[in-house]
Amino acid sequence: MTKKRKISLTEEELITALRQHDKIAAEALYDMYSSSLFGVIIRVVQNNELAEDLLQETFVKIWNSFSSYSADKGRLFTWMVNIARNLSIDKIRSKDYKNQTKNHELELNVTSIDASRNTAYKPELLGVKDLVNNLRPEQKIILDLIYFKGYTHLEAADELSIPLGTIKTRLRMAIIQLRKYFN
Amino acid sequence: MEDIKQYIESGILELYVLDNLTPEEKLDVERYAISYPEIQKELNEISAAIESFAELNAIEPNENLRSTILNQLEYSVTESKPGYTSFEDKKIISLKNTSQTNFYKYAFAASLALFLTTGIALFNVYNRLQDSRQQLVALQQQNQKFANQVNFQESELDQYRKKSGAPVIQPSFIDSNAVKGDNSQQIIARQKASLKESQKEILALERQNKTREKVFEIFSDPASRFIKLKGVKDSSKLLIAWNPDKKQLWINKKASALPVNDKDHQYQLWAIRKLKPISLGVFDIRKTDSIMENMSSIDRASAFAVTLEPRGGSEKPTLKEMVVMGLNHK
Repeated sequence: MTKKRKISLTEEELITALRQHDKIAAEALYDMYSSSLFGVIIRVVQNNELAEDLLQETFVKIWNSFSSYSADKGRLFTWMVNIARNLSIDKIRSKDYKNQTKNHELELNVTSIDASRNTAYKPELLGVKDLVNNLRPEQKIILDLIYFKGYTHLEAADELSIPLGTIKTRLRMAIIQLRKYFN
Repeated sequence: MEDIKQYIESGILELYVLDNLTPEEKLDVERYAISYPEIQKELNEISAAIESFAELNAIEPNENLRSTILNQLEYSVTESKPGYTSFEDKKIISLKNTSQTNFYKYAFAASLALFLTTGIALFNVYNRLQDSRQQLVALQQQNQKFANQVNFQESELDQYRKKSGAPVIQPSFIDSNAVKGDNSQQIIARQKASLKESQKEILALERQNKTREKVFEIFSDPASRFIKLKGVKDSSKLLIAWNPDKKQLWINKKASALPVNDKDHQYQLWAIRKLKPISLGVFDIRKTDSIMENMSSIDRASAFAVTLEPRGGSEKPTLKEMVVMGLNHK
């Protein structure tokens, strides 16, 4: 199979092109970030079809609201990950979604998704399980609630009946583990 | 200092990166980040970790989704034009729709055609170059003769004045019909004017000759590229001869089809490099026109395009007014 050539630009070039709404910007944006954003979305909503719709919504939103992005408020990719997460979280919190799926169990999505999709994974994905398993259970739960389920830290504190300060430091510890892993 | 450390360790920056703060809290963080570089640094590292986490969790979406999504977005210029396809689309189509062997067949035919047209163009340019060289030599000889004549006339006149102080008599070698009623000084003035004119003519011819020499050089250099810019909206086209090594770029107006521009507008040539348009100058298309026009050159470019701009050109291309465009295939 011939490998599809993907467009890749530096972040700076991409931002310029996005401001101008060039078609090549959209192509580059898609080629560079669609799989990462899709990964984020599918782990939040755990449903392939829904995730495809949300990926679409995510790109439309990135495209149309790009004027509101500013580099001094954070990095481009982080901004996009948050758009994808927020749209997905809004979706699973919406009424009609809740009516469809009643049962919400607290589980770590990272591992359950792998079981529910029989996609061929990159070998380094094994690392994700290791990574997540390296987290302490209490760190895992908080990362899961806040990152994948979109709980605010207040809601997470409420849900787990632990003080707000503890939620914050545990989240920090979890992310420090991630930082260590990626360095 | 201690406060900043505490602030960092409170975990609020993680919440900021995860977009989990109220707008007021966010503003606070942004203010701190501006004043304290260590906070900015921490934010960066947290973001990088979240991004790597997302990358590590990446899942390739269904292939069909790409075009579905790209078709949903509104583009600034080219979207509304039916004939337009993006760089990438073109590439994909050419690989998918034709088999490998066909591709090479066409590629071979295309390069053969290019070779032949280049050869013919080269031959033409060479002939014209020879012609104008001959013309130049003839003109220079004529000029020399003329100059001698004028000099001789002047010296003779001087001698005559010295000798006699008498009114000027027509020198014998000047056609008496042409000079009837004129005195010699007027004749000389006229001769001088005509000498000047022929000198101008020679200069122009020399310039033209230089142009042809340069064009000839470009056409005969194997490092030169010939790029066809195709009409975005219609069948306009423009041919460019470009030699990145010699820093030469010419547009071939004769082999082009562009509408004549009005007084208030000019065509502007752009090179696209790293997605940024770089102006290579403006040009006119008139009914009677020279063949080749020299433009600014550039060492690298992924594509070239021409837009119609207000006379004198613009800083940035007016994308709506894009007339032709072509890719630099290596």
